Amino acid sequence: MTSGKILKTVFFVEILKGLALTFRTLFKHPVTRRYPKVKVPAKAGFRGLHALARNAEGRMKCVGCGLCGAYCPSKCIHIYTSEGDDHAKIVDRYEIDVLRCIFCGFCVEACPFGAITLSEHYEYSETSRGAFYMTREKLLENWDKYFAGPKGERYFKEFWLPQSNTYSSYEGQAMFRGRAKGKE
Amino acid sequence: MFSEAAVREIQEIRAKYPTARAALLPAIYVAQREFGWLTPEAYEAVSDLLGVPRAIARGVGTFYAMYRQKPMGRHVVQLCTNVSCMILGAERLVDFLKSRFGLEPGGTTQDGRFSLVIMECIGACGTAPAMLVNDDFYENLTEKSIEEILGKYR
Amino acid sequence: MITVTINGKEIKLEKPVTVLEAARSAGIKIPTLCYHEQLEKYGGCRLCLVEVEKMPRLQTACTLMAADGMVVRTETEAIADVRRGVLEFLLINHPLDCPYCDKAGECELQDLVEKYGPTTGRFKEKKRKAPESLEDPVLVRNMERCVVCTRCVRMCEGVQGAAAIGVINRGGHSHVEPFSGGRFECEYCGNCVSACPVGAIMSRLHRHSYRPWQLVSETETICPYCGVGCTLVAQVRDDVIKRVVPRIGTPVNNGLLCSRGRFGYEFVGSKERLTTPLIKKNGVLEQSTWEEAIGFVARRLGELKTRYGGDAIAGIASPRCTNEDNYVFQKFMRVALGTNNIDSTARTGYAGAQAFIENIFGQGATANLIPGLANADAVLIAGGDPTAVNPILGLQIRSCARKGGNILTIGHVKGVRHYNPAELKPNVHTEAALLEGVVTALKEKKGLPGSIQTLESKIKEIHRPLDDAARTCGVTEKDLAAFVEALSTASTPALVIGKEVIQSAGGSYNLLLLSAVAYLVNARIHLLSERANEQGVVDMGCAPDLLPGCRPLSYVEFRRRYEAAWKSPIPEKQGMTIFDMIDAAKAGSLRALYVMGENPVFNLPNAKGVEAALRGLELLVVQDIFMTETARMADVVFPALSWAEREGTFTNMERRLQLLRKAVNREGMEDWRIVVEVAGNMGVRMHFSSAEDIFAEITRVSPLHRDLSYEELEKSGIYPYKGEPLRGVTGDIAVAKPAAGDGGGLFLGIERPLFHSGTLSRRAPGLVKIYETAVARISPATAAARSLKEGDMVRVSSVIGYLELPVAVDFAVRDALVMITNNFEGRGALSLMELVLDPVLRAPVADKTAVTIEKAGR
Repeated sequence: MTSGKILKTVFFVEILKGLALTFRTLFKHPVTRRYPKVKVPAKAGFRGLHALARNAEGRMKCVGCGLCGAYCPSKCIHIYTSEGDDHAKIVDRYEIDVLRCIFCGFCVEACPFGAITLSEHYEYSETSRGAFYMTREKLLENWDKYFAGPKGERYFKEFWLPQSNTYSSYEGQAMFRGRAKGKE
Repeated sequence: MFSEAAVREIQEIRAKYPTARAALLPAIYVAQREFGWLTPEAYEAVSDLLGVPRAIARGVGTFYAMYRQKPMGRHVVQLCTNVSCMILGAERLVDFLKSRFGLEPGGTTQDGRFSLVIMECIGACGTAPAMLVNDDFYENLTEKSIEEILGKYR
Repeated sequence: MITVTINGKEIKLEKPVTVLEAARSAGIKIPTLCYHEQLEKYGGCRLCLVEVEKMPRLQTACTLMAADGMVVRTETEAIADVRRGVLEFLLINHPLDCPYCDKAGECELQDLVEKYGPTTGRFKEKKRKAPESLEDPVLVRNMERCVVCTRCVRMCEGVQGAAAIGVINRGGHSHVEPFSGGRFECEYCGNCVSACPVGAIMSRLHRHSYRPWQLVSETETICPYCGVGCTLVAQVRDDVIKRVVPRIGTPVNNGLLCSRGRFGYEFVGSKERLTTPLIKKNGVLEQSTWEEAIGFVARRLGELKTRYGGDAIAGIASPRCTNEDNYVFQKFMRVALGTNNIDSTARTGYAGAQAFIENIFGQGATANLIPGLANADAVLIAGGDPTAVNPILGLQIRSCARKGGNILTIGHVKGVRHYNPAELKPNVHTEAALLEGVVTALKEKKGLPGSIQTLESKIKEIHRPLDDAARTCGVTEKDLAAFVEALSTASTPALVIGKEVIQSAGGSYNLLLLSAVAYLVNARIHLLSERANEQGVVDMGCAPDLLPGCRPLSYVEFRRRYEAAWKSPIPEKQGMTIFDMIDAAKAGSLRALYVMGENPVFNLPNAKGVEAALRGLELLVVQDIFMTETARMADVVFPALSWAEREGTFTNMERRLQLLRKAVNREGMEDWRIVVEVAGNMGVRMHFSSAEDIFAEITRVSPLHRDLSYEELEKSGIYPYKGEPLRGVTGDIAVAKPAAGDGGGLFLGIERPLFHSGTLSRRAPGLVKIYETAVARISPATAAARSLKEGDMVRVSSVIGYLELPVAVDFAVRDALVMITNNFEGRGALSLMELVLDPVLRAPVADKTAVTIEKAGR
């Protein structure tokens, strides 16, 4: 054992070093949030609970094209449409099994009308599985809850504007991204 | 239904052609004369007589612009407004017909006397502007001459 | 040998084909829009343009024949540019409503635009506007989407032969329209729907209710309607059949369907379907459990058998059920109940006629391939409209006519009227005289071949000079002579026999004469069949005198063989036919009737009489999928599974065995399983757990079906199978000549419409919308004589009853007839018909019921 080591052992140098850090931190502002008493607001555009958008007249934007369901990697979107009295297409059921959703946001990208959106709401604990099966009504309710007022319109422009509205070539669209032109 | 003379005429036409479909054009023309314009009944009569399916007869009839697809006046004025005629004032004549006779392109006068059809060149560029009234041909038209000519058709 | 090089790949061709077909055979894809393999070439869409070396311009691959040494390139930058341009032009008017359009996902234009397409159009003007046409009950036309590839028009005219739609107007305004501009008023085959590459013509039955990629499963199965046995593909989402489509390359129908097949599937999901067994208690049918109902039926059948003997019980099998159902059912009757009292409604024409013809020519005489009809050089049609009874067979006749074959008809056959048929329209009840004349003339022209002596001895007895025949039947001698000439000069003629000649007075004599014609000109015989498994029900031994495989019960050796196979005695006594059963029930000697999937109260003549007879039974058991007229009278009703919910086999009119596959799931039991359960409760164990087990036993027991298996049927099941056909049992040919005609007056005729088949079709909303209600069809002359006009309500009365129906004036109806369908509840033609049987065929005589017609409400 060298003399240096002996000194370090006798005077508890390492312990004091450690305690010094503890003392320093003692007077710093804590980083940890006391959730749920203190909540962190999600960043804009966070992919949380789903909502079905309403248009300016307050009607559901979705026309039931089913692209979201087709594109969904976990196949958790179920859409049932039928012919209405005026022969137009009506969406009878629009259902998302939230527990199966992986929040990839492909549905939002795929939607040609910006009808399905992901809200910033991330707190949705429930006591039953059934509660996570989102029906059309629940999803519209989510819209009213989380996108009330001009927020929805602003978010629509910022995040969910269908790329079909802005693209100049199809390579930019989610469906075609990464696929070389000319290939099948 | 066709008159007996028309039936005979169509049968004669039919005899000149190898297939029934080939006889459609002249037969539809006869039907147009008989019915005034190409009513559904006219097509039915032609198709029943020639044994050509009705949808086919109608398809052929509607393809040609010179058949009448809607009720027409007693006299049909076909006025050319293509390049040569236009340069020499056919559009003025169109305006004149409208103001003088109340005759709009594609329309019929209130009294059912005239119908106006705008044509795309009737092959009289050298003597433009030109028009057809029924089967009669008129050229070098002016507002004055057009009034005179139409005056002859009652 | 032709060698072409496409994209650097050398392709050797056996026969001259187009560049497009050559490329496809080598797996090279060339995009197309107006090309359709079933249609004539058109070259209209300009998408299949390819570069050919030494040719100055791009060429359309679909019309250019491949020539030796040709060097073709299909994907170059220049070609892609042209294709992009063509698509841009199409998109000038084609709306971009893909998210809303039901075709999106299987739309050919969409796929092409995705591959080549311009991402944005340069055309700033407004698109063409045309409102969606919803006038038609089952088809919807959206002419904004039409790209005028004319596939539908070519399909309608060139394949279906209906020519109901055409291209209207020209240039940018051209679009497709039926003659009326709204309703199609056509044959509703729906083949235009499958031809349309975009969403311009679509079916309304499943409108807006799915997207193509949501159809999670598709099942190839056999159509439940007529005896042609078309293969159809049921596409399913969540256990609901969303639509039915044909598939190119299937043996019988090859990409085509008729109205019934395509629009008649909705009965499967009908809310009226029976769900639980019902037992009659105090005169009312009450819901019950399977155990109770099966136990009850087994107990009662056992009691009745001990008290009255097995012959007091009878069974009616069904030409709608599978071979497996029918096999188990007849085994149940013969083994568990010890009686040969089993029959089916095939007795009303098909069974008798086939037995008659096979007796002359040997088994399999009517088993001729349907597509072969198209290659005949003459087709003689007698007794019905094949294009309505068996539409896909009818299409082959039209195809034959287009290829230049002669179509000869006895009576007016509406479905072939555009094909210039040689028509003979004999007066009512004089068909036999006409045929006698034809046979006499053919005998003189062609001579007797000398191969079938029994038939020749009959032919020698027939003598009626042409002039006499012409006079008797009211046709001109010239027409008749031309008719005979056309028939005698044909080298590959075919004879199509419909039910009307069989169900006529002297039906057996008519059949003898037609057989004689077929014999003299060496024609193939096609016997029209109205039910999907009419042939199968006979082949399975659901007949009082036949064992499975069409072996006659009366031969001891045959019976012994079956007894050994079933390890049970088979009664020797021949059973009752379906009509004997009704008589016996009336007389009181029949105590119980077990009906599987049939509706005798509606489908047998003299409905009231049948109903009264069945009322006297001590036990009536009915298995069905709907509450039919018969089921309402039953003591016990079992709900069965429908055609789409089970497996099994059908035998079509060519005797082709085809597999049915399960398309949707539903709780319940197949017909055979119910019978097996009842038998089990009576102490007769049948060890079947699946339809395949039953088929395995059939192939062991029936010599006709020997050594077949489901696996083999996947490939083909064409007659003659591996088994032995039965030949040469011919005895004498028994014939009953008709009595002299009654002359004058009106007679009842049964209309067999294209859109209906009875119990199933009236629960298919699509078909009901096309053909809504029963009408009394009369000729213009009949109408004029009684000053009736279209839509007037009339009372049509016969000796046994009357019906009040609206009048429909129809040029195709003969003057002495009032045609009524037998499809609509409470308004069936058979309810007016007296039951008179042909003594030989044991089939009812349908054309002897005199009726009167008068304005109703007077």
